[in-house]
Amino acid sequence: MQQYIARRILQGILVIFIVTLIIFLLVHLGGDPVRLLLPEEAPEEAKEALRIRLGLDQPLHYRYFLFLQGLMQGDLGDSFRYNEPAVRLVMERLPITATLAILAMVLSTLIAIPLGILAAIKRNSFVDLFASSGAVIGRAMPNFWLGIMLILFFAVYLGVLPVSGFDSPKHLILPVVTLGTGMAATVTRLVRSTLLEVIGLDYIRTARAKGLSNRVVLFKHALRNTMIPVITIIGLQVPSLVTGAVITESVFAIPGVGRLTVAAVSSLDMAVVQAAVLLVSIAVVLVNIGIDIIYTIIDPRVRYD
Amino acid sequence: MKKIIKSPVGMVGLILTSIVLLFAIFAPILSPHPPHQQNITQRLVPPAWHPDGSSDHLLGTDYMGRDVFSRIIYGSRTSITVGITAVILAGAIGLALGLLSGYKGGIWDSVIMRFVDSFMAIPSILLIMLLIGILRPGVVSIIIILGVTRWITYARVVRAEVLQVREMDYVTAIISLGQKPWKILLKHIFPNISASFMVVATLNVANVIIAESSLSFLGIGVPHHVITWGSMLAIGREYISVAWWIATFPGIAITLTVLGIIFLGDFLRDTFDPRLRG
Amino acid sequence: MKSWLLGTVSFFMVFLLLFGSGLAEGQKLTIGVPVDMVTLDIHDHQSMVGEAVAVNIYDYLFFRDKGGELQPALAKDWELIDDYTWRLNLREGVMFHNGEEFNSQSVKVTLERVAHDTGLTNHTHYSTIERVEIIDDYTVDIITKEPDPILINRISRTGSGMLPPEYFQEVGMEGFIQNPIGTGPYKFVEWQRDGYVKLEVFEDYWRGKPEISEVEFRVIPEASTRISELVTDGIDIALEIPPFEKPRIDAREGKRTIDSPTIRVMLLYVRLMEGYPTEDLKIRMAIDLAINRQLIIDEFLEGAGTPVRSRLLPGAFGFNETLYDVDVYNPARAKHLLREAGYEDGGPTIEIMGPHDRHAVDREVLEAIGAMLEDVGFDVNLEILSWSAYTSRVADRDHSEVRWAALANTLWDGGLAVDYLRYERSDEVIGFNSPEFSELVLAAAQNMDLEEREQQYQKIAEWVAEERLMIHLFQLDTIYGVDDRVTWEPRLDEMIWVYDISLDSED
Repeated sequence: MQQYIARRILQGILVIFIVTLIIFLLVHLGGDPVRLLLPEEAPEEAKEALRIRLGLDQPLHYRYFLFLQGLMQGDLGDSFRYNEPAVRLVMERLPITATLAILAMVLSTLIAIPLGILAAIKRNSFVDLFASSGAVIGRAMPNFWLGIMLILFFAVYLGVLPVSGFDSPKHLILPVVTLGTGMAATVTRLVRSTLLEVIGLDYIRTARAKGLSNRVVLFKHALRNTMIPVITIIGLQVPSLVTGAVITESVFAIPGVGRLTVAAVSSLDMAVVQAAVLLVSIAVVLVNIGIDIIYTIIDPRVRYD
Repeated sequence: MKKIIKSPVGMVGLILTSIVLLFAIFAPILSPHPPHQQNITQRLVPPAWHPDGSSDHLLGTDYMGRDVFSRIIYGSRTSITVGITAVILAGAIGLALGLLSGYKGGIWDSVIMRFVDSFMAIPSILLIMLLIGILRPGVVSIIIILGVTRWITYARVVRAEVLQVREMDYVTAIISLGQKPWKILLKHIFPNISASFMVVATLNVANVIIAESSLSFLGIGVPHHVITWGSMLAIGREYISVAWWIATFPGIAITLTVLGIIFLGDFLRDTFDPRLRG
Repeated sequence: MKSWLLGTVSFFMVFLLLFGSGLAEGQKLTIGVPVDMVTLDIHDHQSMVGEAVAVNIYDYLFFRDKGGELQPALAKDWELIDDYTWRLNLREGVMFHNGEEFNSQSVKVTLERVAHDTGLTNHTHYSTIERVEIIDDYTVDIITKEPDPILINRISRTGSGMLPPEYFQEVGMEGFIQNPIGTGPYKFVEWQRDGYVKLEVFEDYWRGKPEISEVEFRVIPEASTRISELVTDGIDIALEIPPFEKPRIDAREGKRTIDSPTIRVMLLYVRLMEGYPTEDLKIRMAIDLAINRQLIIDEFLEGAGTPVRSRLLPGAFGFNETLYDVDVYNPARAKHLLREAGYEDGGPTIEIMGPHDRHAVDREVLEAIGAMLEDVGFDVNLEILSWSAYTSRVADRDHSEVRWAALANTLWDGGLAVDYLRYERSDEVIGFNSPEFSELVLAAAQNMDLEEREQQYQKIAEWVAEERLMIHLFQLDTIYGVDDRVTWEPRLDEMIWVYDISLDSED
């Protein structure tokens, strides 16, 4: 068990390294990093100072080292728009985005798993049709459109929920529903199809032949085997959940990392964008490691690697 | 062909996708009005079935008096063009890397697969935004960016197929006989992977279309003068209380297009490779 | 032992909760604004929203009233000693938020800072000030480098707030903007970028304790969201309401709209240097004549605007009647001019850059202008950006032939209207270089003979209009969405001076 956890963490660290390498290469090989990180009209001293900080006269591997060093020290440059360290701007807003994403993930799994199971059990029934078509529509509908439609109906027309912002629990409802829908759709379809496959497996039939009651067979063996790939895929969905969060934040004016990054890209404030991509990706990897480890603790039979 | 007629899902997918393609290709002919033509005194006219609507404007007019239906038709051009081009680009990259990884194996495989894992951990829109900052916005750069960020599914599928085919006896035999590797790829591996490749490509078009409209919605997509459903939605949002149609119809257009493509993709998958299910 | 400690603590907590909330009782006013402030350094921005917030934290020496008339504020009156010397008598007994006293030292430190630091955005408006001499604690002499007839205007507009000298010198601007201190009715509490600015009441304000105890300026870029917040009681006042939304707000019980004229004029800056098609006067004229201003006003502003050919509005010094409420729209002539300029088959290509979210109608106006220009034969590229992207590009001087602008004339003077053309940077940015014109502008700027000066400015305005050095569009009104509990008469200069606002308590 501990071996597995250690291995998993090591693997995660490797992934994080490669992520930083990818981002570093994109920023440093995609043109002049100084031009990228500072606006045209910045004073020459500032540009010179940045050149030295980034080590632009040094070989590439040394520059990467400086980059990593900066990351460890929490210094990834300053936003020229806000005149503040980019890392601080991102970290201030990361909890908000994380809250939104986590709530959406919880909501969508709570809905999708039971719904998927039901759809699989009662295959081709009304429930199945409802769940399946709901899932496919949820997958096809752009989430910003869903958000706008929800605002139109619940906030403008009915007036029962707030339009935007992130001040009270009420403010969370529409954004979380909007963000969770896409993931719920994917997970529902996944649970349904995986469970159907698993039920068809030989050993289940054998277990049934042995005389255990239908229910016991289903809930114990089939579900357990379904959950393994499902949890894996949920973990893999975290990056797209973050992508959805960025868009949802713009629809509902939520002051998270997503909205910050969109504003930064619009005004080409790349220090912020760089910091956001790095820090959020690292967070995603950590979350994935966390999910894997927790699941292994709950179900030690799992060693899927 | 006969198969698709039997499948309701496939039919719906085919019909929807064909409609969108027709719109995109024949936009100038099908569109009742020039999409950029303003008519300032005819602003915010409701759809035709509304009492204040006019039969001249099926889906109403927008905030500058332009015909919404025409703009939706022209918007399909952006979605389809960006969708297909980006997917071709992504496919090329994914194919190359997948082949490399699957065929050569060994260290190439490990490195590329690790690379894939890390790439997948970065939320796509953040990576896209970083690239937009580096390459500066523009239609071509958006296509390139969308292509470059979506190669992974192809790579994986291709790699899996290649690994499988490689293990087959007759292929091992041919390799030991000394045939050139790329000939092997061409004659034996390609035909086998093309089916799953098509399935992945189809579904990827749907993803790219949503990604492009999301970027346009956020205002960081293709340039402003290009008509795209995402930006129609973004601007339409401002008028939603007096003109709900400006934002609603583009949203429906995106949903139906994506739906059609997903159905088509599902049908293709079920036909050619049920193993890919789930 | 433990239990009585627990008991005491809980007693105090309950006590604080009950009485604390009573103490904190007071009214809160929330205002939804479309764009964020740029900086808390009042000398380094020209942002209307920034100043709308700043007037609550600081006081000017002279402050205009609702109608635009100058009134004494931190200065009681002024006296012209000679062409270069202005003596101000200051108000006594005024405190800064940190207890420092307002006196001559404050005026000296504040004015000399912006007058001497050439890197500050607002510097050019104060550059005529050479130094401030302290006569006594409440009397100062402002010495100008050249005769400056509008010195008093200069020290009563955007960025004219008075700073506390001791505190400012102690912490420098870096430290100051972390926690700005002024003499105004409200103290700074917090600024979250792209989020909100929070202020709280300054009980010892020299005009008397303000009614409202807490103020929040909340940044809500999308108009529809701003309005939805207003109608769902999220905010009390919403700025920049699009005209087509008026019925929705007025129909709501407890909410209303206020139409308010402003001193803001929308215009197009053009590049006049070589390499741009707009170098040619005929092209500029064609642009000017192609735009049907009245139609734009009627359709998009619902009539609430006036076509103009100058930035000077009635009440401003140098106002020229012949340039107000006149639309030169003449598309046939515009087409003709293009042909004359050599563009028989269409073109040239003109790029117009502007924002879409500063005012409710920005996007519509820009797109309408684009279409109108195309109608006479131009080939138009519209670059419509978000406000933050737009301001970045402007700062970088990264734009092509034509750039949108909407400017208020808080100097109320002809001088500001042509400032852009006068200073050195204009050469590089727009390429205007006429010695004759510069001479006239310089002469007018320093002319202490007011009658002569007025005529000079009228002449200058005509020159600008005929030469199309800038292409003016129209003066526009603005619409506020307001909760019925709010009693308020908006100002012409769009400052949101909360001292003037009263709020009925909720029932």
